[in-house]
Amino acid sequence: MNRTARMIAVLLLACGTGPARTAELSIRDAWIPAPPPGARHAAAYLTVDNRGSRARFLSGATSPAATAIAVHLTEIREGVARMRPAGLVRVEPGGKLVFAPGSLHLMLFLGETTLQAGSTVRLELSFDGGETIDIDAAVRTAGDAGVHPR
Amino acid sequence: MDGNGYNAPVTPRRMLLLASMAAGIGAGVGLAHFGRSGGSARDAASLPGLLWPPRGTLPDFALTDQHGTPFTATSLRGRWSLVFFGFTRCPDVCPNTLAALAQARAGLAGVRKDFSVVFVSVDPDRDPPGELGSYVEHFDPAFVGVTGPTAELDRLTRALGVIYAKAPLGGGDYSVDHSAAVLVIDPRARFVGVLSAPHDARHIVDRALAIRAYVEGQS
Repeated sequence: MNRTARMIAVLLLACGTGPARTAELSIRDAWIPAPPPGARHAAAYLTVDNRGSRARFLSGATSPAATAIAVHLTEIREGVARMRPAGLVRVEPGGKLVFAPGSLHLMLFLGETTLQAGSTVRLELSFDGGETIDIDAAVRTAGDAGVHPR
Repeated sequence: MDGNGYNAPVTPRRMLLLASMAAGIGAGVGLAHFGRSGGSARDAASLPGLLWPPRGTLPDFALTDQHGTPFTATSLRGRWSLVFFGFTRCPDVCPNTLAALAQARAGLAGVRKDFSVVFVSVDPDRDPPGELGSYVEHFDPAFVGVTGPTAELDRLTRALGVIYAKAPLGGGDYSVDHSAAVLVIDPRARFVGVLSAPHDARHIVDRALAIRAYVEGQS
């Protein structure tokens, strides 16, 4: 490996779980609650920032860890939780789009893949115009411990 | 049964609507019971989610837990329980609620007020009881996972004002719309509280303890 190639490799590794970006779009804070063993689905959460001057659209997502990924929206209306395909999701110019528990999420169809807390999962998000952004989502134990009653 | 695994004579959307109307669902499942009777209505109304006086004990129902043991109204006796309905293919609301319940249970143990947590799958076609164990125990080894035939599930859901209905996602897949509330059952198997979504551990702990203290003060 020549020096340039080695430097590129080091830089790629250094990217790690940091924000992934293009000129206008960036993705940060990607995480996946560790699903129960044997679970065939997992949700991924993240934030997309659009620094550009036009609205952008998330057209899809893929991952080596998933047989398919759907963009879903959870709504709780009149006490009832509903999960539906979110369709084409819009990121406003100068705005951000937050995927968070109880709202938008990427639903990963895992097949036989098991996700362990502490690992990372590569996600590739596609936007209008064919632009794609890769990001590593951290698999974390859901929630944090240490909740005590008053 | 059609390609979506749905065999009822009405559409899922219509069934949900009918069930909503039948159950009198308001801003939170079960809250419609407030203020319909009782001298303690004012006290009760000041406690979010408290259902008092209770409508009696739960009816008979025959479900099965993750160990293959029958789970009936009697199984809810002798302990405080928090009951949540969902399905294991639900990637967002269900795991996040169970994670919040696990944190809440840890907090309740700190004040020596144990609650049993029961996860009821309303997707028995895809969630056989034997496969619920690895799912619920991922969140807390003490969690109980139960399900059973639709007729038996419906005895319990009707008594609790819980609604659920299959919602096709396309390609033969489906989601299950379901009440997102956590329901509080007292040691006499009486439905005494509704904790409405969204859930976090602190709110579950605070409201469950307040409801428990009120009910224990009445008897």
